Amino acid sequence: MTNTKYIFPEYKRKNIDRYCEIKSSASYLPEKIVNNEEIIYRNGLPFKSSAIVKSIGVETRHVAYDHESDSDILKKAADKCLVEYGLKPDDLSRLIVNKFYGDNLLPMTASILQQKLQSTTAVHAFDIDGGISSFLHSVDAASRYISTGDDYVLIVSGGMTTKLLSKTDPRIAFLFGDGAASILLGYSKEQHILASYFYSNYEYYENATAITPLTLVDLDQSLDDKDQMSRVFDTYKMDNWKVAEEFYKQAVVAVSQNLFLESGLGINDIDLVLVTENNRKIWELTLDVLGVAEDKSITLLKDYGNTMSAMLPLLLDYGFRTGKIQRGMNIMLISHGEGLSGGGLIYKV
Amino acid sequence: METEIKFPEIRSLKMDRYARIVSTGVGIPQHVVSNQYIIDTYDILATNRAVEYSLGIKERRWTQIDEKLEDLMAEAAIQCLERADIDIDRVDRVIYTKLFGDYMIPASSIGVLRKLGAKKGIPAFDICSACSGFLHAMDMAIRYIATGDDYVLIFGSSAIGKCIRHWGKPDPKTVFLFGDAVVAMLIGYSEIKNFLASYLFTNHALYHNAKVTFGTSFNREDMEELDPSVFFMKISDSNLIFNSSAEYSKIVADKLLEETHLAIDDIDFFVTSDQSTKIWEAQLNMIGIPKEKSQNLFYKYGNTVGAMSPLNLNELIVSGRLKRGDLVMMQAHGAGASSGGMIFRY
Repeated sequence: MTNTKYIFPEYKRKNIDRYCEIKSSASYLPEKIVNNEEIIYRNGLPFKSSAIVKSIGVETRHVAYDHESDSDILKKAADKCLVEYGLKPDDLSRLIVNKFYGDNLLPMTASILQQKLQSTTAVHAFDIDGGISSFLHSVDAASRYISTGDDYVLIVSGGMTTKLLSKTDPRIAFLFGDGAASILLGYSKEQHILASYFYSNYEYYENATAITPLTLVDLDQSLDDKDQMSRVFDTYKMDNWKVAEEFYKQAVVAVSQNLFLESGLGINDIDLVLVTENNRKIWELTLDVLGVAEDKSITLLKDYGNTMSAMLPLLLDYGFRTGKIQRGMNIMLISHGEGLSGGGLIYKV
Repeated sequence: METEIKFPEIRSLKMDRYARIVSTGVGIPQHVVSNQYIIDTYDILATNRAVEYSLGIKERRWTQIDEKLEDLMAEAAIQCLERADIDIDRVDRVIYTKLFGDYMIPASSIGVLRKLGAKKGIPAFDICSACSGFLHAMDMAIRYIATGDDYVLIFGSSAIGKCIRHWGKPDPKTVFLFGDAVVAMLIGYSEIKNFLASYLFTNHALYHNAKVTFGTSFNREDMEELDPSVFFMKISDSNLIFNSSAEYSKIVADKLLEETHLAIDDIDFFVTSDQSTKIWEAQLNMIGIPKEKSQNLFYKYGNTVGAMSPLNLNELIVSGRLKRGDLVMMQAHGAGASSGGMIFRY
């Protein structure tokens, strides 16, 4: 369904006077690395690795072991993040997970993660879902929790994206990778989140979809159980992203304009731009529209693939760890995700 | 797992910008499913009388095979927004707390905007927090209002009926319990303080007790053996759900009363999740609330997961029993195990 009268949400002044900052960050990538040749060979696919690198930008990705679940991967990032700051899981005000499927459709994966972190307090733990942009929504939500009384909010994103994905659909099989990243947000006297802005656009609602039991019923009315079950190996469908290319460009303009309006900054004040690398082209397009050179950004796509909601926190953690992010810098985060759902945030380090 | 779990302290809401419940709306499937229909269709060894007597349920609604969750969400939203006389494009954010969405990705909260034909690209996301999810969403909504939003539209739901219809062979122990419904609530800016306290917790020690087991915890080898039961709720110990709901209702009530310096007798209405009539009664007994001050719809809608507690609130509003200014303690308890509660003036 098209929305010819589409308008981006209007800028609205926020009422935040209790601030937050990133206290620590951490990443975890499973040790097993799978390259394109291996995927091509194992599945008998008619592609060349060089062509894959050129078109979607991924050369290798990390893949977790089959006996592992989302919570195993998430735990490693969350543990590191808490240890780095020296906080026990019991002392969190809240724990938010962003995942693809989670360990189980129900209950929330944040609960089993809390168990694996060996928390002895029933801290409020839940999942924010909806695809890649769930991470940035969580950061924004955390800033509001802290503004209204929370002290520490841990966000843990990613997990095992590849386990339930097609191994033969070229759009899917080469793009994704497993991995997790975590950030701890805590109270700060000074303002660090200078602006945030979000939008959705249902015109592209079904361009990328992942199934639930309800979808299975919608899809397979006449099939028997056995046929239907093959779909659980192939949960994610994606059309050509290019149909939304023009909208992505408009979204980058709208997001950046609204972020500048709120923060009073301009593009020249931005020291680093971190973008979800849904694919190589979307990253390039975003920098291009902003007029920002590639060396003012970080890319991990070639080595990690698209790790869904883990992408932005992986970039943040990489930036902190390598010194690419320094105190005083203004970082612009841009998220593109399914729905479409996207947004941006300016973080002053 | 027998770890001793502590419950977190209640935190005060630091807010200088207030919220209120503007309106509610419901979307329920047309088809009323009787106990007899289930007994006949799925060849279950039971009688209507025995089911009604032992479970306390007469009927429930189930989605038809071709009925989508987003249809019910839109129905609930339209009723909710009409009651408020607010256009969807004035809403700043949409939050949906799900059992399932029509899709896992994208967020169903965007799907409903498509159905409603919203012009504005309203920020929207889904949360996963089972039967207590609506309280999580309400808590989030008042914080978004406190920090700048004017209107937040939230949804809670269950839609599993069409899966039972499609796959058949349901678990005879649980098939009578579940029903489908969506409730929408519009929360908006208020000049006066209405939400006095909020308390949420997640007790991971009960993670495994109620599950829908499809997800990454499967091994690919095991998945060859999959059958549709992985898409249905599996309850290991229903006594544990009964006992923990009663126990948690008391814990939540005590925290909320401690924070607000109110006594239980000050509360005009107590609204909660009624996974069964007995679970509802157990909560009332535990807290010391008479039945006249509460509402139970389990007998006609069953366990509607994220919709249960707000469905009861909606009934109190629509029936005229709940008046503006009345003091409400609202709770919900569910898988996770996760519970939530709030005290607010309606």
